[in-house]
Amino acid sequence: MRAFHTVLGFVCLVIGLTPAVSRAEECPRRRVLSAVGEALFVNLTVNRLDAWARNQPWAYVDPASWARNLRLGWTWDEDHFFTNMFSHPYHGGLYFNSGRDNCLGYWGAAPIAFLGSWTWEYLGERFRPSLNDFYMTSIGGIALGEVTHRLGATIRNTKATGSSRLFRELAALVVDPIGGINGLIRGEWGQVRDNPPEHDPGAFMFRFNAGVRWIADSNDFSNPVGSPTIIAEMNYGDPFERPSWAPFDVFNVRAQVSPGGGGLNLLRASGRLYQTSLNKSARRNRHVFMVSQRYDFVNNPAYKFGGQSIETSIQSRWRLGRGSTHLRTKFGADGILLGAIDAPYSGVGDRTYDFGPGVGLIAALTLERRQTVYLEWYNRIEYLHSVSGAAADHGIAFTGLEGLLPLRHGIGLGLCLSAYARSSTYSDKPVEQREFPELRVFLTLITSHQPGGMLQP
Amino acid sequence: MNTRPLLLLLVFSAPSAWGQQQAPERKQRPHRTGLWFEFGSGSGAVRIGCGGCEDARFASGSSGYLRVGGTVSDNVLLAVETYGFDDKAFGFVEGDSSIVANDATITLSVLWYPWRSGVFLKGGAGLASGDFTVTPDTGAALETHGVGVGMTFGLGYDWPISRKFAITVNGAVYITAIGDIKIANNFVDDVIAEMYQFSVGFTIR
Repeated sequence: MRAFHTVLGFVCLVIGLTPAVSRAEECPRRRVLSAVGEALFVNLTVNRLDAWARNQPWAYVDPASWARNLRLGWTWDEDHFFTNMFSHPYHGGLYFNSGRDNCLGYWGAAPIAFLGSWTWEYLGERFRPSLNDFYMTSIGGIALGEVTHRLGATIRNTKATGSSRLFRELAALVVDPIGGINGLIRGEWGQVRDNPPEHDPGAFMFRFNAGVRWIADSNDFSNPVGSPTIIAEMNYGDPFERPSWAPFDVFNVRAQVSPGGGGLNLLRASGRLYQTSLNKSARRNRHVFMVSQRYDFVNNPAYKFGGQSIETSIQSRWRLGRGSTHLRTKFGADGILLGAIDAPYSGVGDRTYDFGPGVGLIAALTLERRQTVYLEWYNRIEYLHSVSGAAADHGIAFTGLEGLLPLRHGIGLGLCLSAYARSSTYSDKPVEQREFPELRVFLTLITSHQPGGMLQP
Repeated sequence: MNTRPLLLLLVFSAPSAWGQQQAPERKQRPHRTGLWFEFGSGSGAVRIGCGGCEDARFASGSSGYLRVGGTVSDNVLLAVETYGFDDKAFGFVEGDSSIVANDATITLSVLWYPWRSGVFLKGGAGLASGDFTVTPDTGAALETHGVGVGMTFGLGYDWPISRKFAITVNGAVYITAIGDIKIANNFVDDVIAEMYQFSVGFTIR
C-alpha cells in the first residue's frame, strides 16, 4: 500500500508539473521539469511493474544496490540480441518523447533520453549498469523516438472529431505512448484545435510488400529457409524538395516481419540531421551533402547485425530525358558508434554476439518514374572492431537488387535478390567467412506517389 | 562525366554555405559563432571497472582537451573533441602503482545552449584508446594498447572576455571502453574507464 502511494504521489507530481497547455498551441515554452519528471516516471513504472507484477528479483532495488552500482560503474551485459538492440531503443524512445511532448526540440530532448537511460541503468536495476544498454537506449531511443513522435503527431490530427478522432488518438497512442498519455491527462483527446507543425500527412509515403522470403547459409545452399514476409516502408519528406530546418524532417523507416521466420527480422531508420545543397535548386540535376543518424536492427534466422551510426553522404537526383524519370544516387560513409554482430566464437557468457565500433561505406541508386521506384540497387560494407566478446574484427557486406513491375491501382509485383556476407578475423582462431543470400518475391502496395525520400540500403 | 567540379564543389561549398547560413544570426547570439576552437586542461579522476571485478579502481591524474567546431543552429554547436588523461602511478590491483596509464577519446560532440546565456550541455560519442606501460627494474618496458568506444557528457559555461575570446569552465565525464587488457601477468577483462574532469579552457570563437 505504501508503494502504491509512492507511485500515486509521483504521478500527481508529474501531472502537477505539467501545465494544461495543449500541444496544438505550438509549444509556447519548454517544460523541462515535466520532461524530466515523465522520464523518471517511465523508469518508476517499469521498475514497479517488473517488481510487483512480474516478481523479477533484479527489480527490487534499494539504496545498497544503488551504492554498489555507483561504485562499480559500467560493464557489458549478456542479454538477448532482441532485448538489447530493439527493446532498449524502444524504451529510450519513451524518454526522448517525454522531452519532445513537453516542447523540447530534437537537441533539447536528447539529454532527456540520456538521463532516463542513465537513471535506469544505475537505479532501476540491481544489475551493474550496462554500457551497451546506455548506448542503445539513449542513441537508438533518439532515432526511434523522433520517428514515432512525428508519426504520432500526423496520425493524431487534432482537427478531427467523433469516432474518427478517437480512433486516431488510439492509433497514435500505440505509436507514441507518451504523447498519447500526455494528451489524455491534459484533456486534449476531444479538443479541436490547430495541429502541431509535426502533423504533416503530405510528407509520408507508405509502401507495403507481402510475399515469400527464402534465406540460405553458404554452408548449406541446398536448404534455404522459406517464410512469409511482410515489409512496411515509410518515407517522410524528400531531401531535394524539403530544405533542412530540423533534425528528422526527412527520414526513412523500413520494417520486415516474417511470421514463423523469426518475427521482426529487420528495422532500419535513418533521419536527416543536417543538409546543404551543392548546387542551385533550379538545376536539372540536384546534389546535396547530408549528415544523418541511423538505426539498424537485423535479426533473422541466418544472422544478426545492429547498431547506432552517423552517416555522411552525397545524394544526387539526375533527371533523365524530358519527363519525370529520375535516377537517384547516394555515396556515403558512416561511423558506427556502437554496433553488434553475431558470428561463430563471438559473444561472452550467454551472449552470442560482439559489441564494437566500426566504419563503413555505402553506395545506392534508384530509378524512379513519377516518384514510384522501379529499380533499386544498394551496397554497403562495414568494418566492426569487437570490444566486448571475442577478440575479433568483423567485415560485413550487404548488397541487393530490387525491382518492381507495376500492375494497376498502386499494386505491383516485386522481386528482390540480396546477400549478406561476413568475414571474421580472430586473434586466436582461423578466419571465418559466411554468405547468406536471400530471395524475396512479393506484391507491393504503394499508398501514394509522394517523393522518394532518402535512399537507404 | 567529369566529376572534378562536383568534388571541388563539395569541398568548398560546405563551409561557405555553413557560414552564409549563420551570418545573419551573428549579431544576436551571445555565444560561439562560425568556426571556433577551444582548448583547456584540468584535474581529473578515473574509475576503472572491468568485467567480473569485485571492485573498481580509482585514481587521479591530469587531463586536457581540444575542441574544434562549427555552428548548426542558434542553440546547437557541433564539434570534434579530443581528450587525454594521464596517470603515472596507476595499478589494476590494490597497492600497485607501477603502471603509466594514458586514456584518450576522440568524439563527435554536440554542445547545446538551452538559454541565451553561456551555459551549455555537452554530449558526444566516438572512439577511445587506452595505453598502459610498465617499466620493470631491468629489461624493456611492457606496453599494451586497447581501442574501443568513447562517450562524453558535460556541462560548461562560456565567460566572454571579448567579442572573440572566452574563458570556458567545464565539468565532464569521459567513458572509454577498450576491451581486454593483458599486462605484466595481469589479464583484465572488458576494461571500462570513466574519467571525471574539471577544467578551465580558452575559447576562440
